[in-house]
Amino acid sequence: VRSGVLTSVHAFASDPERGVFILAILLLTIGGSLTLFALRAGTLRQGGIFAPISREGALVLNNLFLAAACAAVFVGTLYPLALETVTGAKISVGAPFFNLTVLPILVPLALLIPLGQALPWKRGDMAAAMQRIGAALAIALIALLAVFGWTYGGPVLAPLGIGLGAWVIAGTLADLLARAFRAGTPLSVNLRRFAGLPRAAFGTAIAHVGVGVTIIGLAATAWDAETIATMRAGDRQRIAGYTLRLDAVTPEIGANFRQDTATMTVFRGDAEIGRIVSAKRIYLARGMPTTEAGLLTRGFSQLYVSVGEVLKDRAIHVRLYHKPFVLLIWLGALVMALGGLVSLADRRMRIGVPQGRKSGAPAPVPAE
Amino acid sequence: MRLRIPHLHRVALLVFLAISAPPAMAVSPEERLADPALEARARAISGEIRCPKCQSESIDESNADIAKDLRLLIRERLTAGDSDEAIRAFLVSRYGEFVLLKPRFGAHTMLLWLAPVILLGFGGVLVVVSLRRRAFPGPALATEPAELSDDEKRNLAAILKSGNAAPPQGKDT
Repeated sequence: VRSGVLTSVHAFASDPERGVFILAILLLTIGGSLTLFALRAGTLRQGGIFAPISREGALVLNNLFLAAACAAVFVGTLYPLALETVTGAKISVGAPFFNLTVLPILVPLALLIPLGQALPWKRGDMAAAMQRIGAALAIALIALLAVFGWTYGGPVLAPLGIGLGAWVIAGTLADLLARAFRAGTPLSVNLRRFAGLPRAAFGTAIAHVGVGVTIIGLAATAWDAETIATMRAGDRQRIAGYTLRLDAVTPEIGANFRQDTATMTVFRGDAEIGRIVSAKRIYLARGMPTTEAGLLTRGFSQLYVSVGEVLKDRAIHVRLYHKPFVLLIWLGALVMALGGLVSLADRRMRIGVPQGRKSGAPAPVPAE
Repeated sequence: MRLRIPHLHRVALLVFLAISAPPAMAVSPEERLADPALEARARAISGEIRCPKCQSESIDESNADIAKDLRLLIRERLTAGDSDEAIRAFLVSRYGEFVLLKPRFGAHTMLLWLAPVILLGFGGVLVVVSLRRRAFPGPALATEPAELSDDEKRNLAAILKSGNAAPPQGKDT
């Protein structure tokens, strides 16, 4: 199904509803923020002064990296059009370009996340900040080495990615703990101080942990496994420690399609842990084949089955995928959103509301 | 560049496709090469070639017939001993630079490849300059301090005379 302002030439089905939904999101976020900016532009003033080594300085750096990554995507997207207009040459700019340009910009940004959070406003001390999160660096290095040793011979860069994610998470938590827990004060005082930290501090920490979780999920895609095979009923295929047995390929008739349904049983060792149903479907009106992928979720990892051709003797071509920790990518985004919500519930945001809510008011829920 | 595909070869390929290819799918089992190293190279190359038909996909992902043809072509030439670069050059000679998802570095793409570096550097300079300017305590103020107002001058004179600060007068102190 395609949806968008431009109709794809070989769209199987057009569904403007999704396009409208995406446009609505864009309108709400871009239009909303620009409107707010326009309304309040008169009240914006250059803020106070701050030293380069400070939370403000870190935020400026953060914006620099994010803006540069955005600009790389922008240039990569429009360059082919511009080049064709100017010289007539047709080139393509695809995923490899964006991987090569955006990642080197975002990796240093991720490295700086815990440091930025550990720096105080106005004027900071780099050595003191490093000291607060030094333990996190050790944890991240241990994680890196452990993953590297455990997966030795596999992808080389992925353990670095896991280490980066671990650094972001551990550094974030280390900073949060360092704010409340001081050596020499009784535990009860420390705990009270922890509970008394502003919600914005928790929001920041939660959001940054989300970034770390997503980084780990992305790094883990390096361990994706893929098997392409021809299977008949009763055949088994192994992938990433799982065994998939094709039980049957059954033809079925739907309302406006017919499909060959492949049912597989998944084993871990000898234990049966689930079934995956996938299908090759043909919509009769246009003779359009589609693939109904099958999915089995195990913890944060997923097994995918995609049926290709169904051969005459009911053998099928299948593609099996194991995607370890792939759900962390989405989970991280949810955690980031949660961090934003907690941060919005900060005292700063509640005080001065005309109705004057009491502290401990429930977190605001975004309008949907 | 050597073009080593003789006519017969292509005919054989077409016949093979005509017999063996009902609606194709992305990389099917019989396409794969027995040699895992060659197969891995084939996957790597085809992942970076844009499908001429389904332009949002690489030929590795595309179900289009042309993608399948190109996948087989790549494997055929790999088996014949061609280098990755030679295969890419061959595909470009047939289909244009359009098929490369990773554009080549050259005069026409210089700006594209350098843009992220230039933008980051330019932004970095901007940041350094503006941070310097508002640094605390700044080495140099961006603007000259404003002239003292009459009220302030009078106040200053009074302070110098008495050694005590008089409470500030006027609204702009």
